[in-house]
Amino acid sequence: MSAKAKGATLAAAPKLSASESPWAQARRRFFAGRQGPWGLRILGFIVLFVIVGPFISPYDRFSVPTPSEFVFLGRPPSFEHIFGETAQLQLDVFMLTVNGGRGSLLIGFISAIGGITIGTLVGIISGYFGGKLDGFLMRLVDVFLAIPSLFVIIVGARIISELGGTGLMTVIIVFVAFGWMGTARLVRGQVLALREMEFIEAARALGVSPVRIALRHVLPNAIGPVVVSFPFAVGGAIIGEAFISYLGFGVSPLSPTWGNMLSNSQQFFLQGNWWWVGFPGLFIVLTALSVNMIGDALRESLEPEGRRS
Amino acid sequence: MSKGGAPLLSVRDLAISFRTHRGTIKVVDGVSFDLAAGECLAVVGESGSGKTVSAMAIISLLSRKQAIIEGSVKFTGRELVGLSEDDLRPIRGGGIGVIFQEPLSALNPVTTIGEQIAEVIVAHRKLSWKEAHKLAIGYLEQVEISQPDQRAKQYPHQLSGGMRQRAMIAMALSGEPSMIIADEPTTALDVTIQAQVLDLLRRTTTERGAALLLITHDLGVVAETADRVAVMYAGQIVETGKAANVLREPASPYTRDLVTSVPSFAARGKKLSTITGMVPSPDAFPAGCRFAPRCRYAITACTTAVPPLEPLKDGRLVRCIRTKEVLNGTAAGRRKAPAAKKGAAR
Amino acid sequence: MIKYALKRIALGVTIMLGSTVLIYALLLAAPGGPEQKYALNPKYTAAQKEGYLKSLGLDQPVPVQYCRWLGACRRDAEGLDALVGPTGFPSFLPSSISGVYTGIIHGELGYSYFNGESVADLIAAAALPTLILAGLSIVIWLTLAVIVGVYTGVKSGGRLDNSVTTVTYVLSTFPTFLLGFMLMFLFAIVLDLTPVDGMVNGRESPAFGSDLYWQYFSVSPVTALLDLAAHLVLPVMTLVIVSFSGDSRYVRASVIDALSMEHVRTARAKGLARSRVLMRHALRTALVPFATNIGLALPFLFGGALITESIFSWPGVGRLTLQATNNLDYPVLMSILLIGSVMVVIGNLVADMLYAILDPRVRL
Repeated sequence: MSAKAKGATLAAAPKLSASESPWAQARRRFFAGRQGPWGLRILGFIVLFVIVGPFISPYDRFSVPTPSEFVFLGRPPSFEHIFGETAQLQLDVFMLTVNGGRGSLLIGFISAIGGITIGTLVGIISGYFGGKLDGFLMRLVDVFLAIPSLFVIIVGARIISELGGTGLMTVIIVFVAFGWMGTARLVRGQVLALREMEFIEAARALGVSPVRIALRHVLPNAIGPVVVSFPFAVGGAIIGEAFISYLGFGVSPLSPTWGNMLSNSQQFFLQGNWWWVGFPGLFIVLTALSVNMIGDALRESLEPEGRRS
Repeated sequence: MSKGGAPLLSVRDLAISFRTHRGTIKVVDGVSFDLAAGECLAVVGESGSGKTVSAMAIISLLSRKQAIIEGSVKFTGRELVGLSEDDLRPIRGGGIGVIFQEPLSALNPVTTIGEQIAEVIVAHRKLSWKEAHKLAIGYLEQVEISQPDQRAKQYPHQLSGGMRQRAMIAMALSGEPSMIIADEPTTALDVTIQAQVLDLLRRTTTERGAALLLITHDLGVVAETADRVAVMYAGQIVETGKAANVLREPASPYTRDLVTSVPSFAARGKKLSTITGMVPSPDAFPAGCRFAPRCRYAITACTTAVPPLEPLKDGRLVRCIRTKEVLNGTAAGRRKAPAAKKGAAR
Repeated sequence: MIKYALKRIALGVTIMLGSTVLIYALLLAAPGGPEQKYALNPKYTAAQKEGYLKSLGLDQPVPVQYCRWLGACRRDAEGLDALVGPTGFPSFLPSSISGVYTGIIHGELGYSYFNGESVADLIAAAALPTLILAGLSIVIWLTLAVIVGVYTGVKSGGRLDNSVTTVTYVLSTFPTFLLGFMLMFLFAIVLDLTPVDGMVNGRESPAFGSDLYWQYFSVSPVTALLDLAAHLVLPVMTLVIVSFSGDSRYVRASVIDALSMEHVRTARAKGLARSRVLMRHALRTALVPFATNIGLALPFLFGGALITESIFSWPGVGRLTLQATNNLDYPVLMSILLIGSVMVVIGNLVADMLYAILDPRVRL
């Protein structure tokens, strides 16, 4: 009993020096650069925009503010409607963009968190316990990766929407179900490398339980690349949502996202209504840009030896 | 030191600074030495002493974006500092050959050994590729690689460590330079092969009458190979002279500590002496003598001004104001380390 | 190397079989089926629907359907009998032995549920337009990526590098359809320089690929080619911009890495010509991983670009895939996915072999 407790503290010692001070270092490097802080600023602005937006706009998203004139294509940005109006219903594009942003960001973040959590668990189990379980899980990953992701997303979305869900949840479930494989491979690789390291061997030699080793010693040390992949996963899910919306399989227009705004507006775009496409498009690009910047900055601050600029 | 005629290489007041995000940092300062034709000069120092940087600066191999080179480097009377890449090209490989420390990464992994030698020949002598390839095999033979025609077709990863370094030597020789810079040529090799490679290097350069600038941290290598030695510490030369004199009777405290910290059979059973502390980082060189904080001969005067390089009777130059005490072995400094007694016993 | 290739192909076939099972299961789990196209017809009776499903074999249990699609079961028999062909040999053996001609393993891809056309014909008709679009785009984007990547890598830190790198960074985050729309709006609508979409000018030329088209092509090849080229501009531009920015950043990073490598310093120390240091020593090692992209481009050459093809109404495999998905046209979808994954397996193999050829350190 006491030997076990002692083993744990002894084995914890290298973990402290291996994870805590490097994290502080990485944080300093992250904030010392330009890319990371600017990425955070842009993303922060977007998040603030979608949260505060409804309070600064006098319009409800379904309001038809009895336009002074009816214009089929909607009216371009003006003081009254700073992002202009949609075609047909003449809705306020600003409100649509604000509300759609909440939907898109929710999809992005929740899908990324879900996919990465599942992938991390699978990766740790696969890498740490190895053997037949590892073989099975990795073949499963291969099979999942062999199916064109787009096809899976389309069919998956179709299945789930027919089963009753039409909202954001549908898209999130599909993205999570088919978004864990990359992380699983990544984490497994990390764990395999870590498993051979001396401090893990020391913990094992001291009789620390495998689950505890996996959670307390392997996970914190394998997490670096996972952290780096998170912003990219967020951006991927947001663009992915826009992508399937464009193809007509996305979230129903009742819960607006930037993606379904784009798919609804595309037919009017070529006729001259550029603002209905332009504003959600701009926000998608800004979001993707900011999360990529954050991701690149994280990678550079976590892996100082890769001196890529 | 050759008195007659101009030396082959003459380095005067060489200073090297690096631009970093924390400003410009001077890593090498006031380095001067000469190298005569056929002579072997060893530059010795710990890692971080600036010896490799100085050697690379001679042929401007440092990144032009990051490094600022000041002072003068004259090779066969021609100034190399400030020369353009185009003007340096015939000198690199043709006038001065270079051997690097780690042959596996210094050789191109996706090109055959023969090709890597032949391209030097093509670049510096007006020969066709066919002739160059033929000559390349001859050079491999000179560095005692068996089956040179077969080896020439192989890639670096297919050779053993010792053979790779031999190929590297062949490559440096193939431009028939009048001087070779060897940067820690044996450090990456097994101890058993080190002596062979070193011997080969010395022999092939002597045969050609080429000078050898040997960068090393290994005093054993110096004793075996060098005619003269320059000891560097923290970006400065602290002692330079005939290798035999300097090693037998070091006149600067740093050289003395360096010599006594080499394990030897004669000193078996005694506690091995070490130098306390660490080499200071270039952005925090101490004022005055840079070795003073670690020196057991140091007195207050040492920390106020950088001591000049003063000549001794036997012609060597020493950067220390306490040379007499060092030579007498009387340590009368602030601090008495146990190693001092041993120094006196010698 | 041959042994390695065989091993890889065997593994690839296993993974493909696994993925076809999963795809089949997903497809059939998807609600609605090909009968949906009649759903709005009030005269369509339940009996008619049943007969229709039976004619397509969709009344059978899913494993049987899969087995039939694969060709290990005959279509004209039920139960365990289906496993044996008319000649008495197992159905999965080659047609000449088993007498079974249906199913993927006998080279029969089936017929579209949607319009009854042969899947093989549909795919063959879509393959050429995709090959033209994808092939041209790949050549342009890889070339551009190498040129821009090498140039910015060699001059890294310079003013031009900074601006080019920023632009490619922003472009690489653009969703394809957004970029496609913007280009279409700008060039086809505002500037009116290019056709909006399609592959040929419908008013003057017969549909691409038809017999009439080839007659038209042989009569006035210059006009036909110019027309094709005009229609290619926008989709190619979209694909090139989207794909090249990521690749050029990759090349730039590899070049910067390579230039700081020790063997490049050696090459400089040897006094080699600047061009030789760059081409032979820096780029040779920097571009090896990138060159293997050629193998990875194979699936793209077949599968095409879904988004780009559908934005610009390009009659290629990508658009066919999308239509088949919309119509739940299983035979078409399954065949495209299967051929696609064969291409992925072969492409990866080619990439690995190219790597082994270009880098003597890699042994297979």
